[in-house]
Parts: sequence; C-alpha cells; structure tokens
Amino acid sequence: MEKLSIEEIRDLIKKSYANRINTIKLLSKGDGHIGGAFSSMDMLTVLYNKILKINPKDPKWDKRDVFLLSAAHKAVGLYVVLQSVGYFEQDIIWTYYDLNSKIPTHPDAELLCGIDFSFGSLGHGLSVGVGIALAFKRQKSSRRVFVLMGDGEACEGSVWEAAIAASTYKLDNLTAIIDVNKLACEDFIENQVNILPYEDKYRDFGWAVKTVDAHNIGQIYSTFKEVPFSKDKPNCIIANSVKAKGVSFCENSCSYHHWAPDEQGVKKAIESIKENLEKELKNVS
Amino acid sequence: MSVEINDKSLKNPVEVFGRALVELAETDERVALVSADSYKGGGGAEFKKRFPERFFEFGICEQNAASVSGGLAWAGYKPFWSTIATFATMRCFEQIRNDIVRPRLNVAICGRAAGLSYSTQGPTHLSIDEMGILRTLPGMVVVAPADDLDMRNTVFEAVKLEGPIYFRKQKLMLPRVNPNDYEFKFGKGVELKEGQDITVIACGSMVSVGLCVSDLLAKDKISAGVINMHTIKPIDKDLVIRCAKKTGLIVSLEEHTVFNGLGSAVADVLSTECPTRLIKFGFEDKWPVDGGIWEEVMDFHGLSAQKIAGRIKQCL
Repeated sequence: MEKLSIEEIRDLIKKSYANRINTIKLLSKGDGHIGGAFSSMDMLTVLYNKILKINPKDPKWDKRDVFLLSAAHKAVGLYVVLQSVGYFEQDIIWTYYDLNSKIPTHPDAELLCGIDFSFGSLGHGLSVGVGIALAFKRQKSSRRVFVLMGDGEACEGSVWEAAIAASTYKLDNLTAIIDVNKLACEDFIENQVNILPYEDKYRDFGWAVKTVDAHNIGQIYSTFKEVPFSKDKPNCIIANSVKAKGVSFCENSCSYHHWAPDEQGVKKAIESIKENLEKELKNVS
Repeated sequence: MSVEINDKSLKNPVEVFGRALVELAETDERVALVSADSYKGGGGAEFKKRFPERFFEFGICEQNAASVSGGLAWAGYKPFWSTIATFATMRCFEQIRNDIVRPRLNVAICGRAAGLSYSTQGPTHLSIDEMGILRTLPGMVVVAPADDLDMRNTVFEAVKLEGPIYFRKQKLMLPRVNPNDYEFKFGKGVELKEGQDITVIACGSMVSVGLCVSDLLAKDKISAGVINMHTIKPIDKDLVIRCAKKTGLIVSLEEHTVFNGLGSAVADVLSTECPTRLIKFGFEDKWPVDGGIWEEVMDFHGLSAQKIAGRIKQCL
C-alpha cells in the first residue's frame, strides 16, 4: 500500500484548510454550498495535489485524467482547489457573484478551463463518466475518469442506470466517489428515504468497493492510489464524511447546506477553521 | 391522384437509416451506435454485426443512454442514439439538454416511429410533440426527413455538424419525393413544385401528402407550390419569405402538434419578416385519437390529402 509521509500529510492538511478559508472568502461575496464543499474538501485537495494526472498549465492536455463534479453544488470548493494548484493566473475568488463571472455556483465548462463538463442537476455525472471511460477503453487510452457524487444524489434513478452500464462494460478506469455526509439539502437522508448503506448496493451491481474516512488524508491517498481495485470492475469509494467539516458551528447540519455568511459569519468561520486545523495537525503528529 | 416522383417504390426509413449508418461507419471510425434495447427495431442490426466495438447496448435506460452518448461524443465519438421517438426525447430531456445540447456535442438522436407511426400502439407511443420540445433548445438541429434520400443525407450530414441533431425515423414506408440530383443541406428547404396561389410547406411524411394536396387543388385551378422543409430548426427563412411574397397564403403540414413545430417555425418567420396568412395543419390542442391504421387516423384528424385540400379551398 502506498503511504504518505507524516510531513506530506501535514502539508496536505494545511492546504485543505487553506482551501476552506479561501472558500469562505469566496462565499463572503454571495452564497453557496459550504456543507458539501467542505465534506469533500479533503478528498478534492488530495485528488488535485496527488492523484489526478493533470497539467494545470495545460488544462486541455490530451492525456489528462478527467474529473467530473457530478455533485456540482460543491463547485465553490473545487474553484478554490483548482486555483491552489495553479489553473488560473489571476485570483478568481473575488469574481464570485460578479456579472459575467466565470465561477457560477454550479460550474460551467464553457467558461472555466479546468472544468471538463458542466453539471448542476444531480444524477448526470456518472453516466457522462461512463461514456468518457468507455471511449477511453475503446481508444486503448490509459486515461482515467473520476466522478464525485453526493449521497443525496443516490436517490436519482439515473445513477443506478449508470452503475449497471459501468459494470457491464468492465470500466475499471472509472471511479465513483460517493461523499456520504448523510444529509441532503433539507434533511438527513435517512429521514427522507431508505437508501443507506451504499457499499452492498454497488457491490451487487458488480463494482469493486472500498470505504474511507473522507477526512483522513493518509487513508484517502492510499485508497485512491489503489485504483483500480480489481481488474475489469469499476471502482467505488464510499467516503464517510461530515457535512461542512472544518467549521464547527456549521458541521452536520442542514442549516449549512447552503450559506450566505455575513461579515461576522466569515470571521467566526475562519477562526473555527484555524482552530480545527491545529487539532488536525496535532492528531497527525 | 398522381404524384410525380422519380422512384415510385416505397422506402422503409429505418432500413435506409441502417444502411446509411453502416456505409458512413466504413469510412468514419468515430461513428458509434447507442442502443437502449432498441437497435434492431431502429435498423442497427447490420451495424452491430459489422462494428461490434462501436456498438453500445445499455438496456432499457434512456437517461443513461443520453448522457453516455454525451460522454462518448466528448471523448471523440460520433454517437447515433436511436430508440422510439418518445423515449429518445422525453424521459431524458434534461440529459439531452445538459449533457448533449448545452456542451454542443455531436450526438445524433434518432427518434424511431415518430408521429403517429405507432397509431395502433396506444397513447404513450404517439410522438406528436417531440420536435417542438427539442426545438426550444438553443443550437439544436431538428429534422424530419421526407424520403429515403433525405434520410440518407441526414445521416451523412449529421456527423459534419459541430453540435447535436434530432431526426425522425418514420415507421411508415415513404415514397420518394425529392429529385435524384437535389441538393441537401440542413436549414435549406427543397422546392419540389412551383405554385402561384399558395405554398404548401411540409416536413417528413407530410411532404408526399402535400404533393397530393397540390394535385387535388390543381383540379380546381388552384396552383399550389410544395416545399420539403426537412429541417424545422434552423428554418429556411429566406425560402419562407420568398414563398410568402410570391403566393401569399402559406399552408404548413406536419405530423406533429401545431405547437412549436414546423408551423410555428414558419409563423415565427412570417410574423416578424413578412406578415402573411398561414394555415397550420397538424394536431390541435388535444391528445390524438389512435387505434387505427396510420391513414385512417390521419384522416380522422383531418390530415389526409383530401381533407387538407378541402379545408384549403374553404379558406380561399
């Protein structure tokens, strides 16, 4: 199993918490989905710094891995991550909510280099990912496709249509990441529908499944490095997370699925992120 | 009634589609066929046999098939996604909108058994509104081929587009209406017959009906021109304006509701560019009655050549 050193883990934690602070700054210009962005932030940070084969200076590089943000409301976090790894020459954070901004709340591939496909309505990304991964297979390409979905999204029937297709075509170059923060927009998912847990469902559809702690940087890295988990099977990573992770007073609550922080809120959130960063760093050492 | 056509044998649009697709795939390795339990009925059996590595079956799941087609196109394929017209366009409308049309991907959505092709199959299978739904999407090309030549040309031209296209495949056998040497171009209507008094603008199966209408009117000394407007989006504005200026009264014929289809596209042009009286023939604002063979059902709805000619005469 490939592992990160303690120093590498500490560095990624710092990056991930810096990304959270920048996301809060971005939100200060309007509103956005802090809950989902922060439950996925550690994974996004690891993916873009260590896992994805990409070239931020050449976003259209024809050998790059493809990352699809199916749970596209998390985009406020993705923008910040893309900026942190060098996709943009100028600071895009402060353009949020401006007329003709390139960073709408849900991303637009036509506007922003680094976004390969526009999503926003849930349940589309896995099918598009199947199409791209299938094309790569047929083209004998080693390019891979990663699709990040939310767990509320799993209620969309099209997700399971795509799950069948990925398994049928043995797409081991496709990885679905399910951010299981256990909350949808308005309530805990278990209060809405009987869908949890996801592991056996994907296994039954013929996927190779691994479960990770979505806030354990070392575990995230090692698990992503193991892709493909099994020859000829699509990969599913069930990532157990905390909604709005990193801002204590926002965590695990529907009230912060979406947030428009005022000046005081921005200040409090950044303080909380800094405190939590220290705790995380202590846990590692 | 007699219709002057070059080839009087009836052509099966589905077979013509299947043959054209194989021929195209022989020279273009990007061409793929996507099926949702629908390739045999859609004319794709030979394609599957010849090009198994470019044939993709997904089972009965239209939403997935639409988005996957977008993904395949994003990665360089030219997918033809073919299933029954209502299924191909409605359940997965949002997938078409977001994953194919908005990113301007070159996917050809092929709606089989469009219009009242399934006139005996019950209400869910009648596709009388799908062109209108798709016409709302920016950048969408919407085509109702009138005969085998239109169908073949549509297949070959579809892959040259930079973006998406929807086209109909009637189940009905269609007579040839276009001259052998005609020029086919999306967005350019074909003037099949010149007229002095009225112009009939038709698409798909209604083009041959339009020619019959013209013959019937000729008996009463009414000279009716006939246009094959195979592309309802983008509509051939110049031709519509030219016809309106020449004959005044325009008649539109479509196997579709009168809302947002060919008639509406023509009305959009006339109302802004050249106000002219237009009579729209199609299905009115009620669910069509079905249960009979195509000719009977069309006649019931006032869409046979005789009934159309009769109504035109009353209007003159």
